[in-house]
Amino acid sequence: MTSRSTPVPPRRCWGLLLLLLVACATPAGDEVEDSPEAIEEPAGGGTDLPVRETGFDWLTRGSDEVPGFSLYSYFLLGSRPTHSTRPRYLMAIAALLGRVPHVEKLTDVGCELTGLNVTYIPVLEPPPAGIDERWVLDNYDFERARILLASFPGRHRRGPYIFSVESPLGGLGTPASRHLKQDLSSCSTRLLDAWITVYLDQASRRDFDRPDRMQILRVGIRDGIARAAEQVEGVTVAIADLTAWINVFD
Amino acid sequence: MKSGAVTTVIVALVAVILTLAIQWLEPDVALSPGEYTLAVLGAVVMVVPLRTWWQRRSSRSPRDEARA
Repeated sequence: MTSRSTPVPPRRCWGLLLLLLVACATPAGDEVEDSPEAIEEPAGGGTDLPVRETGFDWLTRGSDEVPGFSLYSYFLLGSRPTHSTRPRYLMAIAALLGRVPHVEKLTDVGCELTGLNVTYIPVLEPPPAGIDERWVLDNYDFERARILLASFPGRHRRGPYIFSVESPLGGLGTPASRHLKQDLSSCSTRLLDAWITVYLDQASRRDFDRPDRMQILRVGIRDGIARAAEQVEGVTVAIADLTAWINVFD
Repeated sequence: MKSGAVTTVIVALVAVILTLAIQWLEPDVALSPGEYTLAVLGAVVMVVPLRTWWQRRSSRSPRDEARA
């Protein structure tokens, strides 16, 4: 004989909440491998001690990368900005320029090239003094970025992406074996700084292509929550609008 | 203290814990209003079913227990 008031454990609610969190933490990039994390290709002999600092430099059209750096990174935009992607591009460029010093500033204080990761930003012409993220986006070399992106598996039509390799990419379609990939195309714009920190931490390690899974998981969950919260804010505004609309008829 | 008030207090406490947990994940990024709303919603989803289940369990008579 069974009781009429059988208690129902709230397992279904827990399951739904967990499912929601996992779904939000999974980035909605253009493909699964485009998650904002490093490509995993195990490399032995790594250490957690930072071995290199990161600086940025301009990769002007017609010029090649400077040899001698221990790591070469590229800040790449997969396509020209649209109405919806322009703010993300601008914020990502601002975050990068705000966090990373020019490589000359690092060499001026005695950093050896062999201890540096250079992050190249492809531009059409040498930048004048006092430029901002708008100038960078207006003068970004999208054609060269497409050529550089061809060195990596995947379509990469969105962006921004940051790819890091041990040697300069140079020409068209040079396949890059060991590489670090940071996909900023689908993360919350509020977390761009955090993902750039992940990139800087990752690039500073000897085994740069081995992801720090705990750090990526931590920022990934926060990113998922931030993106879910953006939707909640939208829904809240919609509910307020609907309530106001209903009240008109009362 | 009424049952509803106890539930509200528990929801508030769990919401605070959730906001602290979200902040701990990335301390440099302040919580947005949407994240606070999400924390409260999460606390409600977690606490209310548990509380309902607990209340039903507590209110059952010894005869119901024996039947179960």
